[in-house]
Amino acid sequence: MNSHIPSDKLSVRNLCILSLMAALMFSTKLTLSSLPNINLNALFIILTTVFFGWQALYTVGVYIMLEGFFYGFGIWWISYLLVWPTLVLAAMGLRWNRSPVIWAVLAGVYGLVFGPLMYLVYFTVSGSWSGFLPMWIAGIPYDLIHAVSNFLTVLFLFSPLSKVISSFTVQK
Amino acid sequence: MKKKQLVAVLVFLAVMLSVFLIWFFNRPDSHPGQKDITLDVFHGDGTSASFNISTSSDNLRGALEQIDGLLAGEDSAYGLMVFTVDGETADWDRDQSWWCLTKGGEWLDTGVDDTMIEDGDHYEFTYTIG
Repeated sequence: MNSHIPSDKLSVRNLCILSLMAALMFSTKLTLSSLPNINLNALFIILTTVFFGWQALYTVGVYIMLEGFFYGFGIWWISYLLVWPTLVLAAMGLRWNRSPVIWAVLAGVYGLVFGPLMYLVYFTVSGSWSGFLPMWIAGIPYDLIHAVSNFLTVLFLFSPLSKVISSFTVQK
Repeated sequence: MKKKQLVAVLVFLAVMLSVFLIWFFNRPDSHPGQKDITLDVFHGDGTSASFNISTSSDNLRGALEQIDGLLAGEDSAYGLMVFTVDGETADWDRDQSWWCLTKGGEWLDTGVDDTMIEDGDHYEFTYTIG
């Protein structure tokens, strides 16, 4: 897989692929919005980080801006500035890994901490921490759904989608 | 599956189980039986209305839906998204307005479906911008 990693330069080809990944994140999340906390964002961010390294932050940046333009720039949007780049950071730390199982575990753990990370920013901005614990506990069923769905989607889709992205990014 | 992968999956499952148990032992309880609750509605124009509701419902949604036209919204994966309270509709897309649900003035961490009620509870819906 590493032989398919494109150069670190932000070429037009990379820019197009990174933008498409952001569009895929946004559109699939919208498509799956009727399902609670189930989306493919972790899968796409991990894949983008594996193939493009820190350039995945461009994808995350475009995605966050799209969310803001469509849904408004509330406190939740400020939380997004922390939670999505955090996954890029974590994936960069595991970029040596080739096992879909390990990526699935990372995505699962990320699904579990996504809610608390969101609340972290929210309560920091609001200045009062009294509601943090009750809010986290109330959201646990949705965090568990997020964790399980992230784990399964990455476990089963990481390898096939890696092959697809490889076909786009292979250096000729 | 290699040993490292197996350990990673087992640790993940253990963390999931721990989080589930935290929720299980701290989740909101339902209280069977008849309850009398109060709902105050604070409208966008500064007026307010108060409703005393006697109910056997376990959750807030069931209690509020006993009064015709008090509550309207859209069912979602997270429960009822409340758009209209006491005839006034909040529209986030129009002016970033929404209905803020509180209990005794304190923010609730749950929506109307997941809020379990007790006898004597006092809730507020406040029309909020932004």
